This record gives sequence, C-alpha cells and structure tokens, in this order.
Amino acid sequence: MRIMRLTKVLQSAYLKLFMAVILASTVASCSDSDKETVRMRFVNGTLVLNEGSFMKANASISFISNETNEVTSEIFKLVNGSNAVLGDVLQDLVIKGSDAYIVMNNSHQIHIVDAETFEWKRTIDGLSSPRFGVIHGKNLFVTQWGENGSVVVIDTESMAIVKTIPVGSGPEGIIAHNNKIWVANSGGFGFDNTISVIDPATLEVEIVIETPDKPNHLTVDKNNNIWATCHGLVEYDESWNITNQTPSRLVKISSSSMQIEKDLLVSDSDHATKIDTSPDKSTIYVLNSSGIYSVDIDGTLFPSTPLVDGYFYSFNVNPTTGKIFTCDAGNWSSAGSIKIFNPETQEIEATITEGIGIGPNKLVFR
Amino acid sequence: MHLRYFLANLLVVVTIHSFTGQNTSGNEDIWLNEVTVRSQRLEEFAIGAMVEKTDTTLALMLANGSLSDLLSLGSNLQVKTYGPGGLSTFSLRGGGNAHTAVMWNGINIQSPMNSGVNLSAMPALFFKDVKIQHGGAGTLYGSGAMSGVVHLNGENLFLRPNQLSAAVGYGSFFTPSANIALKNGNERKAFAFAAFAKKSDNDFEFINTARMDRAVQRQQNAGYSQAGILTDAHIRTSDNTMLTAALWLQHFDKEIQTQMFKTRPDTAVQIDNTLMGAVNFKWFGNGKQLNIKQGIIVNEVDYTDYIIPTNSGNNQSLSLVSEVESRININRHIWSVGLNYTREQGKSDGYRTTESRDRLALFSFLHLKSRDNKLTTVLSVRDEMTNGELHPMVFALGSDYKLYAPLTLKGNISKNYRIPTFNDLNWAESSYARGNPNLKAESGWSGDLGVAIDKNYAHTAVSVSATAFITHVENWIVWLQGSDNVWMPTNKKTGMSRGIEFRMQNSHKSGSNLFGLNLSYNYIHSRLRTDDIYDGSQMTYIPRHSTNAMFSWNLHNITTAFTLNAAGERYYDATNKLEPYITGDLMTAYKVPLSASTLTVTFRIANIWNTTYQTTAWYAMPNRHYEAGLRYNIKI
Repeated sequence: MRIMRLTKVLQSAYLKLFMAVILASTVASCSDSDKETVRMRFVNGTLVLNEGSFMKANASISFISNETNEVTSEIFKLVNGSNAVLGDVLQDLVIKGSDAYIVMNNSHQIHIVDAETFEWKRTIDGLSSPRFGVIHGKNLFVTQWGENGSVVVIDTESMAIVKTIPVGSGPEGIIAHNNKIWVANSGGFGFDNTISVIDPATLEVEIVIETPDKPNHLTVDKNNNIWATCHGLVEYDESWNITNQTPSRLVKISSSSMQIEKDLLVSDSDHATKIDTSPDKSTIYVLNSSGIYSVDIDGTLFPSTPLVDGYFYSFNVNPTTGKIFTCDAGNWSSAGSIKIFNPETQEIEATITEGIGIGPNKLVFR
Repeated sequence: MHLRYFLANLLVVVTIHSFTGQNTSGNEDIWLNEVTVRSQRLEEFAIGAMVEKTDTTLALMLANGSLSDLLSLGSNLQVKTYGPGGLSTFSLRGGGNAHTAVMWNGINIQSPMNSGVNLSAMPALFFKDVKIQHGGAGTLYGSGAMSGVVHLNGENLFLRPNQLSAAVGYGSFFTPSANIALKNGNERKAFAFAAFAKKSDNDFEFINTARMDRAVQRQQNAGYSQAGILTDAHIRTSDNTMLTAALWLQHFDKEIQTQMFKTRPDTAVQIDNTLMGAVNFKWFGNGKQLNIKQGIIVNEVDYTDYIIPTNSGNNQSLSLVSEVESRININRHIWSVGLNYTREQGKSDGYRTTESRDRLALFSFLHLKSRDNKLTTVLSVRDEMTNGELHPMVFALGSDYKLYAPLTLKGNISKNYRIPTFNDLNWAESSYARGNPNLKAESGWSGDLGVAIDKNYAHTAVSVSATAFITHVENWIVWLQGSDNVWMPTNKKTGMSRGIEFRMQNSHKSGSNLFGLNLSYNYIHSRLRTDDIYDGSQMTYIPRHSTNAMFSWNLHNITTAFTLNAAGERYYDATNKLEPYITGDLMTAYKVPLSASTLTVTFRIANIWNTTYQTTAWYAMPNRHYEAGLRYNIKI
C-alpha cells in the first residue's frame, strides 16, 4: 500500500509538473517578442557588419557611437524584435537617402530598413548569392555569383528588379565612378580575369577590361583612376595540395582610357583580398594575409612590409579621420573584434570586442 | 607487446573452458531462447543503469515510420532532425551526438569517419527490440558510449509465430510506403525477411519565421526515397551451439532540405548506401559460454552540390568487427573476459589517402550477486589500443539493490572515452578545413543514482524510475574556424551535465478497456568550459526541460493513442535560441480479425495543433499532417 501511495504521489507531482511545463511553454510560445523593441537612431557612428557563421543565419549589425564610443550589438533585433532574423552571411550595406539596403549573401535577399532607425520596411527576394552593391542614380546595382555571374539592377523607387546584366564569373567588388559601373569579376570558385564596365543609362556592359588573374575589389584615387586588387589564381589537386598559383597584383586603370597604367606585384603566394583608400585618396591600402600595406598612388613598387602587421579578415578606412579599422573574425563561432589603427602615429588606438558579432567583415561610417 | 599480452590472457580463459566444458542440461532450450535474442551484456552487465524500452503500441502505430519518429515520440533521447526525412541525430544527458553509441546486434554502427548514425534512414519496422541505456558504458561497448547507448535488435525468432505480413501506407505530401515481412522456421532453424520502401515529395507548407513577413511557404528540395531489406537467421547447430546471422541493406536518397533563411531552393542531394552484416556463434557448456561475433559495416555517402560543385564529395567507410567473449559462472557470480578487434577504413575526397586503423580492446566484467539476491554489482574494465597506442584503462562499477519487493536502488559510476574520427584526424588541408592529427581522445566519467519501482496489482501495472546523473567530458573535440578561416578540430571544451530523468509507465485494465499512461521528463543542466563566448552556457540543442507523454486506450480491437512531445528553449549558437514547442499526435489502429489472419488499419494525425517549431535551426517542420496504413498478417 505504501508503494501504491508513493506512486500516486509521484503521479500527482509529475502531472502538476507536466502541466506547469506545458503552461510555461505555451505562454512562452505565445508571447510576442516582436513588441519588445527599442527606438534609436544609428547615426554619427560606425556600423559593423557581422557576417555570421555560414549556414547558421546568425548575422548581425553592431553600432559604435562616435559620441559615447559605446557599442550597441544586434541592432536589427533590438529594433525589430528578438525574433527578427537578418539571415545568412551579411555581405554589404548600402545607404541611399532614408533607406539602407542590407545584402544577405546566402539568404539570397536584400532587406530594406530605415537608414537611421533600422526599422524593417521590406525584403527583396529573387537574388542569387548577392555580394556587394552600389547606388547610381535611382538604381541599386548588386553583384551576384549566381546566374553565371551577373549584376542585378533594382529600382529603389519601385523596389523592383529591373534587369539582370550578365557579366563575368564571380562578380565581387563594384563601384560607381565617372558615370560608369565598374565590376570586378573575381571568378568566384572558378576563374576570371576581367573587369566589366556597365553603362548605367543603357544597363548594358560597355567594355570588358582584361586584368591579372581574379580581380576582386576596386577603389578610386584622387586622380580618378581605378585601382583593383587581383587575388591571383590558386589551384589544388584532389588532395587539396596547391598545384599552381599565379601572382597577386595591384593594378591602376585609367577611368577615361580604360587601360591598365600600372601593375604592381603584391606577392607570388600571398594573395590580396581587400582594398581601400585614404581620405585624400592619395594612398591605397591593400590587405593580404600578412597585414595591410600602404601604397602611394605615385609609387612604383609594392612595399615589402605591411603598415599594419597581422592577419585580418577585412578592413575599412574611416573617410573622415583616415583611421584604419581592422576586422578580426576570430574563430567564426564566437564574437570577432575591431582594432582602430592610426596611420599617423602608427599605433593601435583601441580594440573593441564587446558588442561585436560573429565574423565582422565591413564597416560603414556615417 | 600489448597484443601478445591480450591474446595470452584470452587464451587462458578459453583453454580453461575447453578443459572443463560439458554438455548442458535439459534446461538448454529455454536458455538458448534467451541467449539468442537478448543483448546479454545489457541485461547482465548494465547493472545500476537506467534502461528504457520503446513502447510496443507506439511501434505498431509508427510501423511505416522511421526510428527517428519512434525515438522522438517514445524515448528520453533528444532527437534533432534536419527536417522530416532529413539527417536525424540524437543525444543523451547533454552530450553530443557522437557521445551515444548505437549497437546493432551487439556491433557499434557509428561511422568511423564522423561518428554519425542517421535515424531517419532506419525503418522502425526493422527493429523489434529497441532499448536506450542511459549513462556512460565505455567498458561494455567501447569508444563513443560516453552518455549512453541505443541498442537495436531483432526479436527471438524461435518465439515468434510463422507468419507473412504485407503493409502499405500513404501520408501527406505524397508519401507512399510499402513493406513486407516473413518469418518461417521451426524450433531448430528460423528465418526472417523484411523489405521496406518509402518515398516522399515532402513539399509541406510552413510559416517561415526566418522571414520578416512570416510568409507561408512550401518546402523545396526536401524529398526522399528509401528502400531496405533485413534478413535474420537463427540456427541451433547442435545441442549446445547456436549460430545467428543478420544482413541489412539500406539505400537512402535524399534532397538536402532548403533552410528557411534561403530564398532560393537548394539543389544538393545525398545518397547513402549501407550494408551491415553480423554473425554470432555461441557455445554453451556447464555454466560456461563462449561467444564469437563477426560484423561488417560498409557505408557510402555521395553528396552532390549543384550550386557549389566543390562542396560535392564521396565518402566510403568499412568496419570489420571480430569479438570473442567467454563467460564462466562461479556459483551465483559471472566472470567474463573478451577481446575485440576492429579494423576501420575510410576513403574520402577530403583525405589524402585511404585511412585505416586497427583497434584492439580487452575487456572483463565481474557480475556479483549477494546470497539473498538483493544486491547485484558489476565491476568492469576495458583497455583499448589503436594502431599499437594504448589508451588509458576505463572502468565501471554499478549496483542494483532491492530495498524491498518492488523498490530497487540503482547506482553506477564509469569512466569513458571516445577516440577521434577519421575526419577529425585526417581531413587533408584545404582552403577551408584540415584535420588535426595531434588530437587526444575525449575522456570523461559519469555517475547515476536512481530508484525504480515495478509493481503489478490485479488490474494495474506501475513502473516508475527517477535518476539523478552527472556526466563530465574532457578534451571535447570541437571543429572551429581559425583566424586563417580554416576549420580545424581541437580538444577545446570541457562539458559538465547534471540532471534528473523521470519515467513512469502505467497500465490499467477495466473490463474490456486497457488504459496506458507513459510519462517521461528530463531536466538537464549542462555547462561548457571553454575560452570563448560559449563558456558557462547551456550546451547547444540541449533543452533544460523536455518531456514526452503517451496516453493509450484499447477497447476490443481498437487502440487509440495520444502523444505529447515538448521541449524548452534550446541554444543553437552562443546567443540565439530556438523557441519552446509542444506537439501532439493522435493515432488509432483497428484490427479486423479474420480466420487465421488479421487486417490492421492505422491512422495518424501528426502535429495536431499546427505547432510551428524546429528541432534544428532553420529546418522547417511540417504543420498538421496525416498518415494512413493497412497491414495484413497471415499465419503460415
């Protein structure tokens, strides 16, 4: 009888616990966390685009305030609710007027948010591995690796895709300059060695410029010349041994003649991945796995030692202060960090870890 | 040197038995029947551990489903699926999915390449006897059994009537299935054959919570087809010898389900082909037993990614298992000693060469029983070497103590280990990943303390158990992306799980009505110690609270069951969580009695409340859906 009583007590206790769990779970699942939002303005500071872990859809955006130096993490969730999902692999953010266009590579979409409050407005689907974007006139031009390499043109008034322009393979960096759209065809997982130049009026490729292997990113100097980092080809055998590689190079292209006017060897085996310029556009900064190199636009040799020593996933130069912000992606499953390097003093001024998300890959200064 | 030492020990035991061996007595048949099908090591040496068995009513209702369906609704396992029909893995007590061994007919079927076992590819129909052993069992089952063991076995063919059954089923999302099973034989030879085929478009609708507009979408690239056969033979080769053999062939062709955050459908597909075979020879002497076991597992996984061809790859593995175990009864005690040799081979597009390794393990168990039969204790040890390198010896001590008639106290402590997989060690350096040949084996210990009550009354049967546990894992192998963007495994984390498992099974007969109530609840508090932001956090995909329940009612030839499956929030990375969920399934079966045969009609409404949930982040699960089945059994 004691056993029977004990089992009844246990049954009763369990049923109460079970119902409590169900109730708690139901309440939790019914709560609308979308309502728990914050209204803030993300201006006068730096937006950190945190790519997130591939296939985990945990991309995020952090904001570093110029006024307080405080970092606000996960601003998209903060504003739009804890259930708001940016998506997988945040690649780029482009601002036009009151709108910000957030390019999500592996979600194949672009979110449009208020550029100051980051309140979500709408999402454009139908892209294929979008990479980077640039605004020209009323159109947003976005490179995408899908569709055999193309540039998608989005009318920012109607928010409609108005055209998909075939370019080279694996189009990556894109800039608007001299009333042209310049597209670096990196080859993606394969090979290319061209830059496509698009006429924004006709939305057609006007000319294709041949470059060293695998051009990936572009910038403009003070003399209106285009500079491109060319990664170089790296080939592997079935066992992933490198069987062939071509040098990495930095080239200068005249935006008027569209001819290569300067071709500097970066390295035979250390491949350039990113490019940016100083605020006066007289210095080109190039990233490879050894660090960030400083190249005078009138120089004739690529420097042998980096300005900023170390391995960085990415970097950007603050166009106002000229300070170099480096992105350290860490181990890709936990938060990365940002270092701020002053080229004048040649010192790291600050290291920011608190509030940075997984895989920071780009900074947008505003 | 070590090999010679092991062989010498084994030879001594075998020789002693040979000299003293005699024919068994008249009780042989009963003994043979038991020995044939029971996982004796589980029954006799898993003392002090909580062992649960899946419910037969649930197994009947889910006969056209997979082992993933059966275990997620009817066990304490944390089952995680990459969408319905997709890869389905599981864990126990806060461990990773590599920390629970899966034994089929006594052979560990975890892949040597990645420790994986896909429950979705396994038809529930094939396994008549599914048991889950909770807690570390490294001494009994070797590497990998750190948090628990899932035992998959057939049933005793000598006790099963000769019969032929054929079944067809149809479910939502164009999911037809068919299976056939035959058992024939006599008291000396028995043979069973089962074949299974199923396909599904799996294009269910779901609310896409990864989208800001929460649009209702139709799942894409999630279809699958599978087919398999299983044969089983039990032969009494003489009065004191027994031979059993089983062969299992499985083909699984699966589209990789598009994740919710992708607006373009994936196009990747994966084809798994598996062959498993097991042969077991048993000899019985007077209070002695010799078991010789041979196993083979051949697996090929072919993954094709049409969007990113460089992600495609082919993986092939081969495991050959040989085991000799001898037991001797000393009064009421049993002493067992055995030797296990496992040859593993892996070939992958990601390896430089075909990888292989030889594993040799010596194990011994001592099963002690007190004079009053109240206290049973098992002390066991195991030592293993891989390619000539000796691992630290592991041990276990477990006890059952019958406090008084229906109440048993259980306690267990064990030291366990898991050796790295081929992928961990040998993945060739590439632009995105490389193996780490310097990895250490994971090691850890676990302890249980529990109470079990089993009581049968005139019309009621009650079985209740409650277990508190603690599990510790050191040198946990984790794949992380380094600062050079390359993924690599390291012995990074230490894991500690503590918790309580509660399980209750009741049945009550009232007139022609038979009621059943099964309840289980897990509380798991798991912590990681590491040098990144995961430090101190609950382990990913481990809910702190989870529960299952099944209410069943049988009246005449109709059985109806209602199941509940609930899990609390689960982290899927360091900061983001999946929402808690509760799902309910309603099932019914009607047996139409015919002369010498039976027709059974089954119907199931799954996810009856249209719960939106995920068990793996960004892999949608279907809303309410339906399955119907028709089974015909005839005695032959």
